[in-house]
Amino acid sequence: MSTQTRPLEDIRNSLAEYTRILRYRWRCVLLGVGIVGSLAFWGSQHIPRRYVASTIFERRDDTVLRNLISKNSPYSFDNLKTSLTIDMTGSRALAEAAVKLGRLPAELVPPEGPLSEASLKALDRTLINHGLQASVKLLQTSPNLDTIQLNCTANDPRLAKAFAIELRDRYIARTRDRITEMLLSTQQFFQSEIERFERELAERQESLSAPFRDFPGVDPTDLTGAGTRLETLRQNRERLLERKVELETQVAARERFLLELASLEAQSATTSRPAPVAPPASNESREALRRSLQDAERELADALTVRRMTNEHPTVKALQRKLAALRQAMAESEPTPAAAAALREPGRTPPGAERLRVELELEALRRQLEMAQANFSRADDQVRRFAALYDQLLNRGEELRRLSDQAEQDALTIAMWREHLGQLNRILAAEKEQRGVQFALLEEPKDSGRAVWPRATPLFALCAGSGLLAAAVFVALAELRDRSFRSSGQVSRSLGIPVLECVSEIPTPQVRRRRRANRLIWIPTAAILLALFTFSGGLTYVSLERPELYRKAVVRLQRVLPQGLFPLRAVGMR
Amino acid sequence: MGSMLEIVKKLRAATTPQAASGVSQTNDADSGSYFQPGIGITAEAPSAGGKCVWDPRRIDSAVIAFHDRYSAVCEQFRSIRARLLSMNSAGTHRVIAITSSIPQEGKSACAMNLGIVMAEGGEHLTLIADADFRRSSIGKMLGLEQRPGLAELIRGSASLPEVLCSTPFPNLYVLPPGKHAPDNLAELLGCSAAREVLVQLRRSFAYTFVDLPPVNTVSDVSMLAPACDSAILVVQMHRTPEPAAAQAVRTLQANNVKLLGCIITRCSDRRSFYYDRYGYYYREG
Repeated sequence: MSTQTRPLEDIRNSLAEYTRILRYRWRCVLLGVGIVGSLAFWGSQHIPRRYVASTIFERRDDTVLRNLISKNSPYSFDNLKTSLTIDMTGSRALAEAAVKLGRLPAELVPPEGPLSEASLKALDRTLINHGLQASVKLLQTSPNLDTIQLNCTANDPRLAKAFAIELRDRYIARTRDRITEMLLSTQQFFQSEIERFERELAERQESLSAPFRDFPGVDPTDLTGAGTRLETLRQNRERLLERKVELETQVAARERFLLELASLEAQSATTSRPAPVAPPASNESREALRRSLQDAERELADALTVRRMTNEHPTVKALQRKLAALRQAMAESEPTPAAAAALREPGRTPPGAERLRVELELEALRRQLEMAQANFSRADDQVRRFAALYDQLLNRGEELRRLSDQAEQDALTIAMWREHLGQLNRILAAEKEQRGVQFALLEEPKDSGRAVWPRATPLFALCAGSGLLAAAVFVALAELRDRSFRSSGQVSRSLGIPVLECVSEIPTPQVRRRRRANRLIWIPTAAILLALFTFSGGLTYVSLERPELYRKAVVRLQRVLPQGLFPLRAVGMR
Repeated sequence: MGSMLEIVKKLRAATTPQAASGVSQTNDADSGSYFQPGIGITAEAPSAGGKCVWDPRRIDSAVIAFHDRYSAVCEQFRSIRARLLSMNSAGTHRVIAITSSIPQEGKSACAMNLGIVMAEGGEHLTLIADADFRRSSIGKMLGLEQRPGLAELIRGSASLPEVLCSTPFPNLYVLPPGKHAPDNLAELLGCSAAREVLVQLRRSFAYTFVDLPPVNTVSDVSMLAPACDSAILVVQMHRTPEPAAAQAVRTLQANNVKLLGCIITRCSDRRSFYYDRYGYYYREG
């Protein structure tokens, strides 16, 4: 049992011994706790306080804008998220905020470009002197909505609040600028894209329509239309051919008339009454007419049978008209009794005038024939060229269709980009009126006035602990210096002689006077030290928890106490 | 034995009426017990006594056995008395030197109070001899005027009855230091007459408490203490340095002085004493 109780007894004895020492050295304890603790509390008021101002706001991006930019532009709103910390707590942001608050000379912060080494050093000094710190936290983030919390720390609660407001406002303004800048860049990008697509479209259209430049209105991709156009050209050629043949027939008739008239005039000049018999047409011209008639009949038959054209088809009609004209010319090529009759009939126009009229008609007809021949040649050339293009269309149909599709696609793309640009312009106009990206303030920085550092509990523990530690040191020093006997056991052990008795102090008048003097000295001293300790501790508590009250109290105390005894600057007050 | 009683009666008769009245209250309950012979240590008292004027108002308040004989402190001195009596059953320690290691430790008050409580039973004829020639305290404590004492006795210029001073307490006598120049104390205390005086005191009184100066301060103790039967060292709690006390013990032991023990004065915290005592008790248990 003794072995089990011995450690407990030793602990109890040790505790009792320590208690006895403390009771005997109560003055050391009092001085240590009172003086050092009070000094610690007083010194703790020099520790710069840190106050936090926290503001929460949200940035709501326009969904249309965001989608428009993120899908169509090399710029992105994600940059705003990734650069959030730098935008709000970067060196430039801090420096500009410090300049705005008058804590940093404005000339040290250039409007653009990186900060110089001297500026950074000055900024660091300013931040350290004022205990300025800033941190950003994304409370909630989504593609279109960011809830941002900005915490600012400073020695002065008002400075912390102003700093938070300044950083937040600067971020909002800068974000708007960046978004505007991004929108302008996107606008330029859209415009350049539109121009590029327009150029491509023009090139494609050029490549498609260049061969058909002489044939306006022809769509290279419309094979049916091109065929119709070819047929039209052919009809036109046939019509011109008919006209040419008709004119040739008329010219031939006039020439024959003049020949016959000349022979008649020669006959009448040799004979008195020459028989006015019109010479028959030459066999060559009649043969040519017969061939043309046969060709026309063949073409008409071919059109009606092989090509299955109806009678209403323009080609068929043209061929019919041609055939009728050729038949009429064939009929007219027979010898005309009219000319002979005209020569024989009395009272008719004299032959010289008739010749002149026919010659003039012949002249006009020849000119018309030349023109008709030129038109026919041109039409024939067009038909040949268009037929070649038509064959080309038949061979490169797929390629041309693809080109055409691309052109159509380009046109659609251009239309889309134009629509985007229109949207962007509207958004840009809205952004200029601050109706684009929305910033909503959820929580203003509060001026709670309570320091977040140092905390009251640890600080009090530290100060009281330092007082207790000093008391312990004082007690230890006193115990080390004091070689006197503390107990009868010590006397017995040290001297090796028995202790006959421990005699209490005889209460003589001197002893009573000494005790009274001790009381007169130590009771007020203890009261003063305890009051000082309590006052210092209370002042420290008030400086932490109620800074405004502390400021008022210190301002009043400074009227009677030396200036600078209570550091207002340390608690962020001036 | 009968002669001793007569001397005592003579000495008591020599006390002043004021002194007698001053102590009468304290002695009322003990009257009749002072003079019972045959109990305890017997001694041969000197044949004559000097006249002393006792004024109770002049007795120092440190003489607690006079002012408040039922006080706790007085009881503690009685405890020392009991201890001495038990240790001295053979009667070998009759001249006991009371000294200390440094001045102002309360050895004179101890000697005075111890002498009073030793004498108050009436069994032991007790003498308090003041041998501190440099700073005499006994006479001052009792309010005695300077008068011949131990120095004259050693020099032989006065006899014991002439220098003995009776007190209001039965069986208690005081031997003042007398008058002597401090520069030749060594010759005075070192001579054989001093030892013969102590022999005479041993023969005359059951207990003689010799109030000596501090051991570490002067060398008087080294000359006088060996002539005593034993010594008691007074140690003041929280004041006497441990090395000084140890040095005093070594000095006394080097002079072949038997140390009966020590008295610790100004024990403000008796719990420490009990604590140690009980602590040892428990440890031994």
